[in-house]
Formats: sequence, structure tokens, C-alpha cells
Amino acid sequence: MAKIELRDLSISFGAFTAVDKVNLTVNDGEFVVYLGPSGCGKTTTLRSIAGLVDATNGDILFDGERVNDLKPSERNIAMVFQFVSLYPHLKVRENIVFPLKARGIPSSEIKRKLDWVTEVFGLGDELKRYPAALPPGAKQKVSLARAVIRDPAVLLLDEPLSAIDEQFREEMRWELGHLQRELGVTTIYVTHDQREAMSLADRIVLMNNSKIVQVAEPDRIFHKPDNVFAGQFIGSPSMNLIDLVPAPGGLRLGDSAIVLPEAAIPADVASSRQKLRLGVRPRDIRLVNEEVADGFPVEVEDVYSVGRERYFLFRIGDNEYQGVDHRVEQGTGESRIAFEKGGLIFFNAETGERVSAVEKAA
Amino acid sequence: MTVAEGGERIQMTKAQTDSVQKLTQWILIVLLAAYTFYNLGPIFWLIISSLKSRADLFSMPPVWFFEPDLSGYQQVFGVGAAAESASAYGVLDSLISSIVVSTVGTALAVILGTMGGYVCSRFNFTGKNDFLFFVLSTRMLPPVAVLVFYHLMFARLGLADTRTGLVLVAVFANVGLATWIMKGFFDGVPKEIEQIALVSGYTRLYAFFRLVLPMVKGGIAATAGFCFIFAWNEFAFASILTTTQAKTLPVKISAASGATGIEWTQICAAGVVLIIPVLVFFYLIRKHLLMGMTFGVLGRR
Repeated sequence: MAKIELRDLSISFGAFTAVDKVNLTVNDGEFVVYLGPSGCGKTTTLRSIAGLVDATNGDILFDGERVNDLKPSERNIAMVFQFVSLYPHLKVRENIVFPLKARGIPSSEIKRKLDWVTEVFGLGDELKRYPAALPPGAKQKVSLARAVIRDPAVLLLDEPLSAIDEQFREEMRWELGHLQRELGVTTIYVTHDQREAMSLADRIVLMNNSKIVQVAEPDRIFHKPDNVFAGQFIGSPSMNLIDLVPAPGGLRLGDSAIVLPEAAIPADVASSRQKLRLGVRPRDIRLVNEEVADGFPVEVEDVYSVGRERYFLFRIGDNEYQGVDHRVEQGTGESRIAFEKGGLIFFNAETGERVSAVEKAA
Repeated sequence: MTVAEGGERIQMTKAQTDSVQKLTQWILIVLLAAYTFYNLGPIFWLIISSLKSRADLFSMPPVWFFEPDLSGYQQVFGVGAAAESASAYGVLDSLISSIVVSTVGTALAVILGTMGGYVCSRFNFTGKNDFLFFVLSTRMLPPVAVLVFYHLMFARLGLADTRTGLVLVAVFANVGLATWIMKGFFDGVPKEIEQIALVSGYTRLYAFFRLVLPMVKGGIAATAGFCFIFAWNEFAFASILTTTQAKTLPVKISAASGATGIEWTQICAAGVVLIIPVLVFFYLIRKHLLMGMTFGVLGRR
């Protein structure tokens, strides 16, 4: 078990900076998920923690001790890779005990540990087979078993579920979460899948363009994104962004005639005197009828259903936006919508930073 | 149209395609036979010529049935009565030279090339691309261009007319190619192979020798095959850099004219001997040449 600190960590490959002055503390036993688009530097960060990539600048500390100059084998870490990486010439049993053999651990101890991971992962029947004979999900279980068999101080997972079929991925995700809590091992998990991040993480580290965008609990990062990128990257379908223009009695939505009344704007936002941009998640948009006072007219251009939910595309001024509602049967044409109270997030239109704290309506 | 008519029509078409297929097959067989004869004919001729006596060799029309005469082979291997003849002098030595130079040269080139190829595949260093180009450029060099200077250099260093000198030439000529081929094979091995071992507590040396090398043994065999052929057939350097002590078999054959004129029987026998090691070598490594590198479990396919 270990606490990990990254201090001004930078990693460059020639002229390209993959990781730019990153600071982070991962607490002992915490499950931290690095989330971001491909190429944002999350995997490089993970590899530098493993010691597979050298830090160009800055320090990596395990329990307060600098490990930059330690070899991967000296860091007491375990890693699971994105692509299933078992040794094809070794049986499942040999693959799993591979890290123990490196340490010259007595065979009785190896046996005990093997029994334990076999039990945890339900791999009893597979031990004597070769990896090629296993389905992808089972192969990745073997990889995980190999990673945890020697009680690593840190468990590093690089998109471990992305090579597995959708139907097994969900199941593996639950198991993985369980396992991590049971072992209490400090875990850093890299993914570009926000659902994995939201469901597994104690805290999410959102990265973009080699930098950390926001570090927060899943709930907080969803409801209080620090900036436009965080707001748009997390949540599906993506958050609508509408430019706001000061107008008599409130803020006008883009180039339309619709004015967001002052009553709907938090006091600190109204007083900020910045150019503003409004963020609204599609699920915070309701289709309403004439009687609802804060509704306003829009043109619904397209509608389709996904199971119980109805996605609709509507137009305010010259721009199209998306909404999701399940309450109203709605075709295309003239309609009225309203924003869910508390679903409005205000950003500074120039910097992209969030302007005020928004509390979600209960 | 009835079903029966439809069935008949299909059968007609099927018979037609069958005959077309058969014709194509026969044309292919004839072409292949001609090509095979074109390739193997000279070798067959070489083999029977190596077994003929001098008289049979020059008889016109050529004789097809004759008393096998092994004097050519006796001269090459230095055994029997013919081994004592003046024309057999140094032939066995040159065969030994060829074997020593080719095997030692190949072994060194493959060892160096394997290590170089691994480094170029896995590590980044300043000037890596320039280095790789330089390594390959040694292969582009026409031997004739530098022969004279090699000769001068070797004479000064005391390497002229020594097997050591020819081994060095064989290594120099092959290490570039070996590096490139091996780099290609290492590139085909997923980096995760070593990375798992590294994070599991093993050293890179362990990963290289115990995990990566076994996966590229087919590649090593192929590389060794190429290097061996080049070294075995090398003529230009060997002919200039040797005089008496370290002549290789190809050089010896080219100069096989004794007191009684050109020793055709001996040349043919030596030619057969030259072919055999390459055949044997490739027969031995054929399994590795065909073997896939990984078995589809590793890597990102």
C-alpha cells in the first residue's frame, strides 16, 4: 500500500510534451481514474509511475520517497495492459505465478497465493490451459490475477477492459471495483470511457492536452465541472453550450429573442460582469406545455427514441441543441421547452472557467 | 422453364468449367516442368559431370551411361589416389577455409546484428535513424570500389591471406543486413513482453534472453541463412585478399588449372560440394523459417 505524489511532473518526447507540469496526490488505498481523450497524456503518466517511461522533469514519490531513479522491478508495482498480454508459451498457472518466480518465493507460499487468486477470480478450470484457449474476458482476468498475486503497493491499469466485449465489460467492471475495495490497494486506472470512470473512481483525474483539467469525485465533476471541457467531456449526450448576451431583464440566448430572466440567474453570476456562456445538459431540458411559466418556444427539428428516452434536436436562433426527455410524446415542429432548475451551469465565455457554484436541485 | 431444364443447364456449364479448369491445370504443369528443367538442368549436368572421367566428360555426343569416376571428389576432399596429384594441392584447405570463414563470420554477424537490432527496435538514441542508414549503407557498397584499399590495409595489418581477415570481411559485409532483419523481427514482438517482465520484477537481460529471443528464433535462423549464403558465396574480397594460405573454395575453383590444363572434373566436384552445405543448412532451419512468431495471443491484432 502506498501514497503516490506527482510533483511538477513533465514528460517530453523530443519537441512533444506529453505530460505538462502535473501535480497530484493519490492517497493510500484510493482508486483514482485518469480520464481523457486519446493522446492527452494519461497513459504516459501511468507508464512513468510504473517506471517504463522516464520523467523529463519533476518528481514521483511513493510514500514520500522519490522513485524516479528506481527501475520498474524495484517499485513494487503491478500493471495490467490494454491489450491482453499473457505469455503464449506458458500455461495460465505459470503466467499467474510469473511475478512470484522473480522473487524466489518458496513454493508453499506460491501455492497458497495461487489458491487465493484462483478463488478470487474463479479461474480453477483454466489453470492448466494455455492462454490461446481462453476467451478475451478470461485472459484479462488472468492478467489481473497475475497483477495482484504479489500484493503490489500500487496497481496500475491501462484501459484493462477495452479489449473485452461490451457484454462482459460491464460484469468485469463490477468485479474490478469489488476486488479493489477488498484488497485496498492504491489503484490508478486509465480510460477514455467516462462510464468506467464514473462507476469505479473514488476520484477522477480529467486530463486534456497534457494537463490536468480537474480532479474531483465523480459526482462533483459531473455537477460542478470546473470548465467547459470538463462539462462537455463528461455526460452523454454532451452538454449544450449557449452564448449569453446581456439584455433588458436578463440574458438573451445567443442570437434568439429568448431572454433568460434575472430570477433564473444566480446572484454571483449576475454580478460577475463577464461574457457568459451557458451549459445545459440534455437531460436538464424538459418539453413543456403552454401552462409552464418559464417555458419558451423552440423549433424541434428531429426526434428519435432510445428505449424509454426520446432524444430531440431543437433550434434556438441559428444553432442546434439536443435534449432528452421521456415524459412527453413529441413530434417535430413548434414546441416549448424549459430548463431544469439547477441544471444551468455558467461559464466565462473567454476563459471557459465555471463562474459560480451551482447546486443541483434535489 | 421447368426445374429439370434449369438443372441441365447448370450441369452443362459445370462440365464446361471443368474442362477449362483441366486445361489450365495442364498448361500450368507444362510451364512448371519447363521452369523446373531450366533451374535444375544445369545442376543435374554439374552432378553427372562431376562423376565422369576426363575422357567421358569430353566425349561427343555426351555419354549417359558411364563408369563413375570419383577422382574429382578425391581431389577435393584430399583422399584416395587422386589426392596425391599436383592438381589437388590446397583444395581441401580451401574447403576448410570456406567452412571456417562462413560459419564464424555468420555467427559473429548474427550475434552482433541481433544485439544491434534489439537496441534499434526498443530504444531511442540520438542519431538513431542516421545510424540505421549508415549500417545499411555498408551493404550498398560495391566491393570492387574498395578492394584495393582493403588489400593495402590488410597487408599493413598482417591480415592479408588469413582466415581471420576473411572472417572480418564476412562480419563487415553481413552485420548491417543482420541488424536490419533482426530489427524487423524485434519490431514484431510486442513491447509488453518485456514490460510485464520488468514490472513483475525481472531484469531486462532476463526478458531479452528468456522471453524475447525465443520468440524471434525463427528470425535468427532466417538471418543466419542469408548471412551464410552471402559469406559462402563471397568471391570478390576472397580473391583479392588471399594468395596461398586462406583461399576459399570459390576462389580455388576459379583458379583450378593444373599442369594438365583446366581440371574440369575437380571443378564440377567442388561445385557440387559448394552447393551441399547451403542445402543442408536450409534443410535444418526450414521449420524455423516457416514458424509464426507469436501465436496470436500477444500483440494488437
